Amino acid sequence: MTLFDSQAQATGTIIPAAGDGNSFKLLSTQAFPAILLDGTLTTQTLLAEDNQGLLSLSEYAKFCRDMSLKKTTRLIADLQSGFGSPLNTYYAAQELERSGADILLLNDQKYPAHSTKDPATTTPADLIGKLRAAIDGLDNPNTEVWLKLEGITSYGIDGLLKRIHYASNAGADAIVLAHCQPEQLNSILAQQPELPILATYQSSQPAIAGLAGWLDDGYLAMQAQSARESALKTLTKEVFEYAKK
Amino acid sequence: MLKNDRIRQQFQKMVLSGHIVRMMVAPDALAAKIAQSCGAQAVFSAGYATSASALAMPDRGISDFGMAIERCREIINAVDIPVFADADTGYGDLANVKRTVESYEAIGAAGIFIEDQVWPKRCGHMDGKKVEPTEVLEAKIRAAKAARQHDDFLIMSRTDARAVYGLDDAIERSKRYKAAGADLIFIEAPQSSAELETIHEAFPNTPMMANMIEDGKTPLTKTEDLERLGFNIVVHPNAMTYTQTYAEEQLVKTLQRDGTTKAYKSQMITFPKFNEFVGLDEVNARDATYAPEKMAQYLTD
Repeated sequence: MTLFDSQAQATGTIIPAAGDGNSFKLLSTQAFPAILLDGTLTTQTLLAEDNQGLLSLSEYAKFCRDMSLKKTTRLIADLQSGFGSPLNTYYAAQELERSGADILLLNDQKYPAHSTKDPATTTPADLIGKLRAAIDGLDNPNTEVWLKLEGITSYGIDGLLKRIHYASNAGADAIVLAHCQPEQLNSILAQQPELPILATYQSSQPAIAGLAGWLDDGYLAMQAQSARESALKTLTKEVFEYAKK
Repeated sequence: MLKNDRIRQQFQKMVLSGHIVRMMVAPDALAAKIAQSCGAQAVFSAGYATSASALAMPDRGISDFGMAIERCREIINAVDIPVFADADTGYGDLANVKRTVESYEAIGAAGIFIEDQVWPKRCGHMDGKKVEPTEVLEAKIRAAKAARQHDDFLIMSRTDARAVYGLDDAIERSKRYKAAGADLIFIEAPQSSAELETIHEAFPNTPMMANMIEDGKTPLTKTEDLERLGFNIVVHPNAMTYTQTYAEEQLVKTLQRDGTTKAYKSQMITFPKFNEFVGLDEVNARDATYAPEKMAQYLTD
């Protein structure tokens, strides 16, 4: 049973993201249907960098295994753009599944993936090759593969609808749309795509009819960073005042 | 059935079959694949070999949980036969034991043993070992049993007390470890065939393991003789490491002497045979499966 079979009545579900142990543990105390172990957030934690393409599969998979021991709900692993070619995607999917992933999130960027709003995307044939490779690499028939489409600015709504259709042909379980405006989401959903559609989460988004859920990519981390910056101001102020004494 | 479930069931069935299970310790994934290709029913991932291959150091408690589990995981992923693991002392207190059990079970090990040495431990056949009071491993066995997700993830107790307090104490400790829940018993480094027999007589109905180390404290005994003595598992922990070391030493000496490896080539596998062994053809075929032209079947309206 896929996540959306089990959530048949629930639309507009928010699936949160984590990239560090504390956030993952905190989110695990709540009844979310899944938690995304986001590649960019994990890169920030492990490498102090913002570019997910710097994080290798083995580094990410190790962290995934550690978090999977703490999971209380489905774990979505960030397969990025497959960490290389379709061949790499096959072995990456295998590695992330045995590292505890219940759902793999494959994006359609060119390898290496970047954490940017307008990334370079790969061809439909390469993308579908990676999707098929990811599916073939899995051991558990219940493990899902979701496709994250990030190129609306380059291939437009028509191109995006084609990719959704190809993904459906090739066996994807759901689609995540990134960098889409509400009116674009409404246009896409009006075409009644064959697969459950999620969109990347932005706070204060209007309700979108037909959207299966929102996939967060760092709300908690962003709030935590604001709190850390505020605490840092207090700390530096106190250091300054202590020095004056 | 998923691989991890299948492997655990397979190993438990083998151990309880009445026939001894012979395992080589594989220092790395390649060695494990060699063992499997030669018909091994199962392989072992253990500290002496991991210390040697990862650190080029002796088994003296320097290699840690992180190294041990990563090496074991590589081995598990390279083969399709059960892999049993040496979890040393559980790497700390009861909280560490819990993490150790959860982690080894999650990576697909068939089971682990935990021992009663004081950390940093030593190879069981080295001098100077110290053991904890019996209560320490009793509590660890109970914690391990509580932490495992599946009853067929086997927990073996290992005592090193033979070298410290004698065989009677080692047997007494093992009885307490069994009572605490150990599925399998391992008394390390008995010093004669008579001691192997005494161990079996003390545990007539408990699956047991024997350890055959070249130049170790226990006489090298044939597998069929150990089976007759009632042992369910025999492990050969160092043979692959020693063979690898010897062969590589000879190779490097040859190269230093001759300036070429030619004279040693007859001792090597060939380039095509090695590529075949590690599955180059399968990987190439997999690569070709996802070629863009093959994806046309999915790119239809």
